[in-house]
Amino acid sequence: MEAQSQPKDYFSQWDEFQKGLFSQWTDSYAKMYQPWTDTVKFWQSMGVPFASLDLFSMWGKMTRDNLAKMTEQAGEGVGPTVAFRMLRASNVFVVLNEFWMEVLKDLSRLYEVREDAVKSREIFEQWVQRYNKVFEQLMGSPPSGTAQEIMTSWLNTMQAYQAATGLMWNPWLQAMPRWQEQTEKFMKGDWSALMEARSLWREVYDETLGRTFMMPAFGLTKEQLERLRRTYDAFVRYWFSIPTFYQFFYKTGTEALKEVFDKVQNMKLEEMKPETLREIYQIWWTTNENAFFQLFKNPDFCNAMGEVLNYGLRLKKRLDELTAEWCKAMSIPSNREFDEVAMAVQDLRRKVRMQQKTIEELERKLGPTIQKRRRQ
Amino acid sequence: MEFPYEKQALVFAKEVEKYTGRLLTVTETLLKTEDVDIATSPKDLVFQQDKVKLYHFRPKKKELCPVPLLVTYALVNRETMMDLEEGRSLIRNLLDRGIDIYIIIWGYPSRLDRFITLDDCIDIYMNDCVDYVRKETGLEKINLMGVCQGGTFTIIYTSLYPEKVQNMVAMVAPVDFDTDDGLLHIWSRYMDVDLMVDTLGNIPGDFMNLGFLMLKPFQLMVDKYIGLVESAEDPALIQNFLRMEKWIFDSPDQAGETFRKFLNEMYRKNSLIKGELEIGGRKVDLKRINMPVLNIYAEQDHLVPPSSSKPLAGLVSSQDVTTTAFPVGHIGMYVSSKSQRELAPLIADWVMAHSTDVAKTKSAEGGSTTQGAGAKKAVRRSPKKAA
Repeated sequence: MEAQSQPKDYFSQWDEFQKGLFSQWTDSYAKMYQPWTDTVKFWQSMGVPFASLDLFSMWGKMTRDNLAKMTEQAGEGVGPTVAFRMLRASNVFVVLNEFWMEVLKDLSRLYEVREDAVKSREIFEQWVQRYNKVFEQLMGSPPSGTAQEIMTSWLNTMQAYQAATGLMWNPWLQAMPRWQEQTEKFMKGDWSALMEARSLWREVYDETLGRTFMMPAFGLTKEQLERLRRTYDAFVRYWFSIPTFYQFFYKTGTEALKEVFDKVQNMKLEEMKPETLREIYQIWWTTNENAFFQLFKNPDFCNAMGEVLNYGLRLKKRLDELTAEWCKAMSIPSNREFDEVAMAVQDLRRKVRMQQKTIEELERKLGPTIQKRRRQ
Repeated sequence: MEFPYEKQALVFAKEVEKYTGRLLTVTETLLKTEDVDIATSPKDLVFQQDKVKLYHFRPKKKELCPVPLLVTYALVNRETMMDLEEGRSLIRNLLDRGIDIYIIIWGYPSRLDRFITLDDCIDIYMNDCVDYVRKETGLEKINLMGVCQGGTFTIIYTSLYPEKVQNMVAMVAPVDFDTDDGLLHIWSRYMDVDLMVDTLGNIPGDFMNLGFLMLKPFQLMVDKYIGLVESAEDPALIQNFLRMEKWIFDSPDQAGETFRKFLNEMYRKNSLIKGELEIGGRKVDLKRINMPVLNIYAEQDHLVPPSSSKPLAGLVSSQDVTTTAFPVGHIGMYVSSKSQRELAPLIADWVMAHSTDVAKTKSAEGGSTTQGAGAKKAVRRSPKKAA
């Protein structure tokens, strides 16, 4: 009753509501994850990352031993030989399982050495050796030539993938320290560093992603894929040309601001401090105007501007092509079709105009003759 | 104890207060203002070819210069700048002095006009307009005045058809494009014009405008508007501002193929002064310009720098070339008080003085005659529709 007689203000109510909501959320979140955390705790308590392998192996071994003892005692029915074969056949599952568990154990190591082709190959070779043992256990002999070829193919595939990955990312990783240097130089006022960084970026991109985007495609969707890749390429190039372009603005703006401060400060030193805000404003905009005018004449800026413009245009062109492709099935005229019409119209205009001129010329020449005939 | 810059801070605060007050006044004025009119001098549509229109300004005087003046403006922006408002109108000033003016209005190219070429503009549209005026007035030759890019067109046209031109006036017209004095000249070297036209078709007027604003970003995008607020108490100044603003952002798109050839041939190759430009399959030879020439340029022109306009005198064969500089900028040529006082009288007097020998066409007069060779003053009566 007392609480009712003292109504809470809006903010207190809102605060309590938020607290309640948060408490409910944490409770439900904790409950949701409880089974998982329990499981993780259990396996952690086993002390090994793949404890299941050991448990399962131990269990399998125990079962096999017991069955073996039992089959030795079997004197009737299918007989000990058949019982042994059955047991060995059931072993396929166990042995294969052991192999895959070993493979799984190696996955984390494989991930660690993903950029090292030699170490990766070592792991694969270990897998091959283990698999050979599986075959030996199951078949009593090493895998056939075909099986070995299959394994080699897998290995080569993996290697090729890793090599390609290396080709793709290594140039970027190698360029990183240079970019860091160039950034530091640029921050210290060296404009050429920006240009160097841009050139390096383009070089690396052309060697890596750029090449993949320009790669010919195959099959039924060849045309569409190539068009799509080129659009990606145009997008990436455009997107990366923008920061360089804007860097010029930021840097010039900062330098101009410093110049403004210097000017105002110098005026103070000379006992001619700006009397009005208008004076400061005047210094500000004229200094900036001059700084940007100088910037706009700078060939590096012009290059960057040209790149933004040209890459932007290329991207638009690619997007237009894609749009035209997607709209093919619809009854919408494409830009190309419209251009054909516009060109035809312009040709027609020229022809009509020429014919008009010819008619006028004929009228001028034949005018007196026609009038004469009419009079007759 | 007094804060070190207390007095100064007070001055600044007062200024801000005053500025804010003016801002409110301007806002109030703008809220009450309807759209402003520009280019209001009466004129009649007399000829049209596709979207290109030829207008004839209604003469203000009964006695007119015997040879009419055909004005060709640029494709970029509109010719309305020449007749911005009553007190700032080159056209009105010329009409007041008895010049009979025709003007070509290029219109707004649409997608359908993408394939209009530079050759079409000069060799067809301009030529047809010239022929119309010649036929209408019965004169073999008429006076041409080209402004800005329209000046380049006029120079090219006169080289191709000198037999149709009595006198040529070039106003802030670029001729030599190989200069580093103007940012447009520099920037055009870094643009892939072919890619631009292939991708965009027509070049958007907004794109052109952005480029022009970038030439003086702080003046045109900041200080101009600060100036507007400072003129808050004068509604007439606000009207003037709005008229100028209307002109600036009234930017027709550029027909793609015309833009391509103009940029590539002029800005990138500088073909005109090298004698390499071809229009309608013919080489443009500036030496064929043998009639009197008046070349006017603006000393502080940031769009067409003097170094681009001045060389005209040395490129033509005419022995009568007058080159005149005005201490204004590109736009100041049309709207500055100095140009109002001096430019129109200069053009009008020069045109009048050079329009005494008038050759009539055979079609109009039944024979080619020359009126008053060496006559001091030849006049033509204005048509009935004169205002």
